[in-house]
Amino acid sequence: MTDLDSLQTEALAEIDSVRDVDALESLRIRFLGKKGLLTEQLKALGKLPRDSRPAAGQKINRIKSRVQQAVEEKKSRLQESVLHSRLSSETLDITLPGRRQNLGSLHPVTRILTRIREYFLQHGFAVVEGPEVEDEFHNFEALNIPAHHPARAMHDTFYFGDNLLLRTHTSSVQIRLMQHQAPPMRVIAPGRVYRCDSDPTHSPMFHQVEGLLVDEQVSFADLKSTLIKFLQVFFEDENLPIRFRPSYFPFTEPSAEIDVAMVDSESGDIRWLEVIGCGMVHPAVFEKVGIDADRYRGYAFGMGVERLAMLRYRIDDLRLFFDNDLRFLQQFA
Amino acid sequence: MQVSELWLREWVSPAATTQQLADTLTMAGLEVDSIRPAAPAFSGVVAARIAGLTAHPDTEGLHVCSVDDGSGQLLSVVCGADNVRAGIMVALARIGAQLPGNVPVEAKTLAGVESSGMLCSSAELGLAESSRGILELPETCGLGVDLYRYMGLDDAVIDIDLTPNRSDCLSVQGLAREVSALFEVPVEKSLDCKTVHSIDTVFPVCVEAPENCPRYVGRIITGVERDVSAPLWIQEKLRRCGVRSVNAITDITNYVMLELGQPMHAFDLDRLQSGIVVRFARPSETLQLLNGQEVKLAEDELVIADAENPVALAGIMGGQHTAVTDQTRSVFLESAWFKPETIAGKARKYGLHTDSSHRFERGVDPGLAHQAMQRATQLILETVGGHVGPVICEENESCLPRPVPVVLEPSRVEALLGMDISTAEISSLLERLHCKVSLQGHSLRVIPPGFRTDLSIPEDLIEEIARLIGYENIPASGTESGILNASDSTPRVNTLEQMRQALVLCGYHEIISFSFVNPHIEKLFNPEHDAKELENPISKDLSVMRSSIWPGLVQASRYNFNRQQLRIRFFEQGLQFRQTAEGLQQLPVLSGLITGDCEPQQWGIRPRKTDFYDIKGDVEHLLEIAALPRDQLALEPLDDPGLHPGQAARVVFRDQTLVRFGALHPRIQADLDIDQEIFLFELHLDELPSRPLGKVFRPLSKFPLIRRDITLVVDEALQAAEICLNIEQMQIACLQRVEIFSVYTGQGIPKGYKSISLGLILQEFSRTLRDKEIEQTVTSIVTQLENRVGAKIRS
Repeated sequence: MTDLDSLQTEALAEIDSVRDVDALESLRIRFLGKKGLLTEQLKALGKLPRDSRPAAGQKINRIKSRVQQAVEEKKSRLQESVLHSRLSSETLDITLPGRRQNLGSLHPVTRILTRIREYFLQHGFAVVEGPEVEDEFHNFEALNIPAHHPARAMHDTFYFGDNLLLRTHTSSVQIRLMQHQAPPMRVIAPGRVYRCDSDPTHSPMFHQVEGLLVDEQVSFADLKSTLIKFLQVFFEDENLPIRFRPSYFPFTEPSAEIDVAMVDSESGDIRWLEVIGCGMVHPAVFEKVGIDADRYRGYAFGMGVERLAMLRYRIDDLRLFFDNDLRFLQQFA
Repeated sequence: MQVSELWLREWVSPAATTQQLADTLTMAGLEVDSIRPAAPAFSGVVAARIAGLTAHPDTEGLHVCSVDDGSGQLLSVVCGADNVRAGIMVALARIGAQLPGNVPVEAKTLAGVESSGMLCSSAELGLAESSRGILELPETCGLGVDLYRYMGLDDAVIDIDLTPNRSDCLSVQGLAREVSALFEVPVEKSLDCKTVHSIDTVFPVCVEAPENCPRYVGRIITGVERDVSAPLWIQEKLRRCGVRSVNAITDITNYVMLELGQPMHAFDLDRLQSGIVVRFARPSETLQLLNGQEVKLAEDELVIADAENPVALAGIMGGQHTAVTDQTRSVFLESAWFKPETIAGKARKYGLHTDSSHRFERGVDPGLAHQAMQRATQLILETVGGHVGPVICEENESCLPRPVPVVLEPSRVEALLGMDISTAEISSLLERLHCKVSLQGHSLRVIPPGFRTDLSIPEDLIEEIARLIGYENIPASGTESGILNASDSTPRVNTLEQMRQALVLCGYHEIISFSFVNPHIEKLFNPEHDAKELENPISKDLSVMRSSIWPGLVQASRYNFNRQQLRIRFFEQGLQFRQTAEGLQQLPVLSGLITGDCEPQQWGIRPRKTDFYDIKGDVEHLLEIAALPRDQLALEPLDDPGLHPGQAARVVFRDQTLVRFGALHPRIQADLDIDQEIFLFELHLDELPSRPLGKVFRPLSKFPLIRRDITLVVDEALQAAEICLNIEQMQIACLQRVEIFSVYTGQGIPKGYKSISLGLILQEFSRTLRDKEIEQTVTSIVTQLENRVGAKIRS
């Protein structure tokens, strides 16, 4: 039986020294296969005297299972090491940039417009649009700005002739709406507007959002409430200092301008910046569009989108909005 | 309106600092734009008299003056000014004085003569941009008096941005009334000057247009002194209000305008022929204005004429020929009221904007004409003397505006402002503004003062009430009024929003370009179109309305090419303007541009230039978002002047062009000096259905997808769509879709042919396809293609 012991020693030693899975498999076949050395030993049991067979059989099986176990253990160690070396060979430089298309961006004016629109949509306002090439009636006369009214001098207007012009404000959309719809109404009208003026602080084209609410019970106090809440949400500041200041627009009476206080980041000084013009719809406007001014009242407001964008993003040069410089646009991705 | 604070405080002086005064005005709707000192700081400058002078021994033009500054000792000061002469009072900067800009005055030697100080000009004291000669002070000014204090230079210039309705505040008197109402302190000053005429001569006035000029007040003053300047205090007040000093009489009429608000004009009487006629201009009359400008008058322009010619553009500007100078001996003074509608727009027509036209356009208090005439006469007599003729007044009372009573319901005040204000308070507030208020039943009958031409309806009065209460004191309601139903934005807006988002994810940056473009570039893209042209563009480059956004996109790309940005993806949404037989159409479009590398340069992707199929892919994305029925969409080749004829297509939806896209025409590329290929698309938002068709779910098959690939060799000119169409026509139920996964020409393919590889995706909904069925289907497709398009299977 020393044969068996030396067989076990030999098998375990060889298993221990084997270096790869294939060699291990050959070893397994050599010792444990159908014609393996240990299998042969079992087959040879029959040649032993009957009474010594059980003990010998047990011993062979014990050795066989020990070798079996050694093979399994070795196999799993070898597989582990194969996986390990594969994993280490597959290690990437995770700091290399990802493969991608760059993200584009929405223009800051659009982003601000979306913000404004979403706020007012949530507050029951509908969004309406109007033409940019307008006529004198909708842009001026119906808004109580007759020819040669001094207020026209405040609007440097682009003209085409034949009473056509580029709208100088989105207030013209008010008129188009009120001509075609009966109160109550609650709308905003975003869009491009044009003034014949070009310098570092004036662009010949910019954007406004007009708002209009007409109903039976509307007061200046409601106007204040609506716009104060809007500005607080827009600037994400519940304590934003806001002031209403009397002003003049021919199509509202009373009229106001709304200023918000901005703190200059360098000097710490507070500056009041005008952000919205507004007021109660002038009875003459209602008359022009055939709305009963005794029954209905309304408020209207208008805000400059670029002005709000400049405040929100701290953009200091109006011209940047229309240069369409990629280096500017990419900042809004 | 720019005003001197000290001048204003001569009239009304509330206990408030300059800043408090300005803040109160701003919050009352008279927005203060700026507050600045009336003069830069200086010190050590005193009034002195030139006791005597001698010519400088060596240098011509210089004088050595002996100056008496009241110190008991005469100073020797060298001066080079032309107007230096013995006896005059001058501004002496003593040794140790600080001139504006912290310039110290030291003893120095000028051409060998020591000068103990310096005689100053207005410019040197920061009182003028430039000046000729040294400043001459009035005789009455005491020797050694500190000039800064004497001239009241510790004053602020308050610049108020007045709204057009507040013409009543275009004078010190008007502002004083406003300040008085805001601070509830009385106006202290009243000008009630009466001048008695000393001669009986009148210059006849005939008003031929009484509706347009219902009041014309005039008088003559003869024998005025020549070569006299307006007193320093008048000049200073003019300066602080931004009006240039011209000559004594003109300065006085300007002064009265600033003080009271009545524009006046003085004519040189010796240059007027026989009488004044107020009339409309006659055909082909011309007038040379004070500023030298020669204008051809139109027949709707009111003029002041003498017996022969127009001598002034009424209410706007006088003529040069009859202008007053410092040599004038006799003047005719005009103080008139012109109807605002008559004056409005006329100055602008000639590119003019004068203090006078500014006031008349907005409305002057008709009651001022007489008061102003008296005040001007008084000041002229004080300054240049003369003999005064009687005041003559041509008046057409019925054409003068009269304050109309406004009936104000107190309940309306509450309804409009959302704040309860008692009737008594309303009355008292309106009375502060000089309104006459009386109770009429439950209503108030309010007569606004003559100077408040802007108050004519109840809402006007309600604004005044709100202003005096302070907008800040009107409570915000806290509740949302009226309808409160959250509303939808239109479905089309939602589709557009999704498209924008998709483009952003595809790497597009949104741009905003001007709606007006360069006519040359516009013509390149749309040569047949007569672009809508602006009458008054900012520049030739921005003079026609775009008929497409492509020029703007291409221009924006060029801007970036010039800044080393060669990979560009842009889109813009906006209107394009097309002139059609039905008139101008303003069409909303979504347009895009791509150029340069397909992906941004990076280590992991081999660079590839953008081509036609990239823009087509993006267009396909947008069409998917639009969710249009595929069977109503058709792709067609497109002949478009802006696009490469072989790389241009349009998508037609319900007989209308929905999208056009393709490569920028190489000719335009060359014309614009662009080195790289550009691809463009344009989607017509108006052609999208106003409500997109909802998507409908299709059940999923539980059975496996089978894929069979075939490669065909076909004529090179054969369009892929032809192959797909032929397969489609077979209407094979289990064929889910066909994918073209390779198109190849070159080695192994005969010249004039290409190989095209199709993936046939097969699936039955209710069972697994059998091998035999699959083979039959593939064979039938191959046969069909062999027969119909001459395809050969490639093994």
